[in-house]
Amino acid sequence: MPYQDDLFYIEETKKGDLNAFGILIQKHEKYAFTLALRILKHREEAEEVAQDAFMKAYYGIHSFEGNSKFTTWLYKIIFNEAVGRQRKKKNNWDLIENEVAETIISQDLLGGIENLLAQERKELIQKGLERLKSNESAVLTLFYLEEQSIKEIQEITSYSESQVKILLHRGRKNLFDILQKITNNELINLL
Amino acid sequence: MNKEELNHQDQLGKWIKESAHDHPSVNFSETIINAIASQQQQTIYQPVISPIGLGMISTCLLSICMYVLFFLPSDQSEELWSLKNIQFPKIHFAELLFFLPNPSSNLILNSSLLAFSILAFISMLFWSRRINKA
Repeated sequence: MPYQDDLFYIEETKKGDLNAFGILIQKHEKYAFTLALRILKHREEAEEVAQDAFMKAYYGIHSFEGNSKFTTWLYKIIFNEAVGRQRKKKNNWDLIENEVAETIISQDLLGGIENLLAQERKELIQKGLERLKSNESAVLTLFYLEEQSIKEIQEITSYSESQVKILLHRGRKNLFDILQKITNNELINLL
Repeated sequence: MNKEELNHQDQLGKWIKESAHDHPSVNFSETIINAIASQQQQTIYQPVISPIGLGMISTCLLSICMYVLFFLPSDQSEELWSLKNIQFPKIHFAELLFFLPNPSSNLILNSSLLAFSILAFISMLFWSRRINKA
């Protein structure tokens, strides 16, 4: 379904058209759900959080002035909701450590993953993202999948620029480490 | 950042994009819309008193105020607000009458009631002893 610009649906929603907001949800539900899932690692909870966030967005839509992108505003609500839920659940929202170790990625791993079938590679990356720390996974998802700039990620997460960069760097490194472990285990299982 | 690292990032970015978005349940948006619609229905308040009723009440109150302020003679105000003019409830004890009927029953009924009560008491004693023995 070809969607119109977000601002059109926002204006219609402000006028009281609930269907316009329904279309806005349909347009962004996958993005919203994926971000919540990357943080919470639990499908039902992620869905609940994404739904709550959309409801908050609906009730706060009059305060949206269009100074930033709608997605940035929406992701900020989702991020805060998910982090709040995570904190309530286990009180261990990952802290950002400033040390970043050097990344040594073997060419075999890269080549191996590249040579996998698309579906296998997709499953492997999803497994890797599931095992990654919540904040690293969220920042990687925002950066690569939602194509948000570092400045926008800063706005969404309220982290500083250096913290976002550290999380991106650490996330990449840890994701490669996890992928290495998964592929090694699979090889051991095959032998 | 060296060229090799940038290449790794590009590859990782490509793979993450490839891994695509996760899909929520089919009725995801419907659930939200229904929840919003039901909340909107709940928050519609109907006034207990209709606007016409409110108008009538306020007109009455206003007219009373106007009457008190502008139409009551000022020299009578003391008399009007005096406690002497207020009728308080009173009790006239002299006019109170309590009637208690005198219960009367005939002698045969009274003696038969007494006899059956004694019999009941004796039988109770008898049965309680038998129950204790058992």
